Amino acid sequence: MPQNADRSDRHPLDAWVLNTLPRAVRYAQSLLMNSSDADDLVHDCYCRLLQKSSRYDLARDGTKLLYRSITNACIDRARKVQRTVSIHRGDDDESTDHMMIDTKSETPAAIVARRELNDAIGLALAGLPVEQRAALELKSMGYSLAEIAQAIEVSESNAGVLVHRARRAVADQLKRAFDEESA
Amino acid sequence: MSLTRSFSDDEIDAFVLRHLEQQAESFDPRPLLARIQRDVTENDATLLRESGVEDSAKSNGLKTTAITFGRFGRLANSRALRRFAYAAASLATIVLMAVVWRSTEQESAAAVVRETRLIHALPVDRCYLVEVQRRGYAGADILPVNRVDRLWTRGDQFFLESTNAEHRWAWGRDETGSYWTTYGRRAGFKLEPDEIPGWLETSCDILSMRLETMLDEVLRDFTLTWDHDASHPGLKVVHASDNRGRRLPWLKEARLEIDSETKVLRKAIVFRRDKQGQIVTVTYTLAGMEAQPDGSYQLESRLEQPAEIYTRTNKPEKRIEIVTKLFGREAARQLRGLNPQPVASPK
Repeated sequence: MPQNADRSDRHPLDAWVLNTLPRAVRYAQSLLMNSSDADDLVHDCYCRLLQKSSRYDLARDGTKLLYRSITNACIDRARKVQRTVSIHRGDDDESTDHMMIDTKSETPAAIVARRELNDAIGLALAGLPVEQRAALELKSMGYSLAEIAQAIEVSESNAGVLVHRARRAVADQLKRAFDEESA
Repeated sequence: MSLTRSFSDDEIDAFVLRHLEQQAESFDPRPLLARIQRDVTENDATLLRESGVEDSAKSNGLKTTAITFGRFGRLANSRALRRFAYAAASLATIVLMAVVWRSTEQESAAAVVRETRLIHALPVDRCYLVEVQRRGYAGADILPVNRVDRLWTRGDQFFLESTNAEHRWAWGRDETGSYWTTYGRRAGFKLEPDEIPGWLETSCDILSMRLETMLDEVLRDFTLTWDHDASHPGLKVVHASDNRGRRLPWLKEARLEIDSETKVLRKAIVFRRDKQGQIVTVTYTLAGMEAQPDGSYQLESRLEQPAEIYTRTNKPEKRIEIVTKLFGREAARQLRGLNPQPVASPK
């Protein structure tokens, strides 16, 4: 019975879900700018994929399919609702920020610099249109232009344009931020 | 912070990746995993009910359950059952702890490798000594180290040069992404980025320590475990084994020694299988960091004058002849396919 086979094959996939989940959720949060919506959306994407686990080799292709599905759903949702960009960091970021830094190996100045850079990147990404944000984040995660084009449902050359514009916008924003700081 | 400068594409990508990774590291996936598991299981049950499978399964299950309970009823008060239940509970706890420990270990090894990848994407010149050893055939173990070469890396650029004074050669990738190889002291050839077949690019990335690709492959297809080497307290050792992806079947195993503080790769040992099935061990040891002139990564600076460089436009047939010698006929055929000869117009 396919359903039973499906269920017995699912346990090894738990490790795959556990490994991919943090990045997938943060990616969705970055695209949607909303934690609870992102959790729900990622949950739905995983459920859909896992229910089709007999059709796909999830251990091999799952991550690619997952990001494609999340990107698609996030862009759809972002287009429906008016996008609001928060310039403040969320509470959870505040409370967990110290966990991100290995204080033993960095000087206080380096820690501050790293935090500032991280904040500036977060702000710069938040200011991008959702398609550009998705393109740049996928590119930084190592996806090819062809894969990004598939995920965003644009041509490969348009995917290249999105990545290029996003990089330039982020670079300009960073430069402005640091210029203001040093002025 | 004063950082009034422009940012390269690689730097922007590295910053964005680092931002995403840092966000991900602070996320606890367990509650959402539990929710996904619950909903997928419930959905399965609904599917089973809708398809009528569960009814038959249930009736079979009821019989089985009744039989089991009948047996257990007789044993219910016995000491044997209590012992059995205790043993089963202990075993389940051990298995659960092992699974959780394994997942955590895998995740932290991956985090170490990701951080190293970011550090190595920065344009800093690093020199590695590359030792190549072969085994897997009779007498290989008693042979001395086959060669020791020198590899310099700077982000995506690299050059590898022999230390053999009698037979000098070098190959590398310049800032435009072109591969180049010297051919004697006064000649060499270049392959432009759109002429490099995928297999050559990936193979060169790994063999030349292009860490971005190497670590991507290691992260994606291998099982990662790591240990704290008591003899080297400042070192994190990541083992990559069990190549599940089979995308690079010749890459068997790797061991990465990462400096705990700087996150720089101090040593990497890569085990691969060559065409004859021999196991080749390539060891990369960090020898130093020293700024190199930009020309070091370019073919032009490697050749004695007067020199000739074979390219797509300069003596392409000579270039194909050399590619055939170095990489075989298939590679030459692919290169020829990318650069078809212009058809002569009929007279």
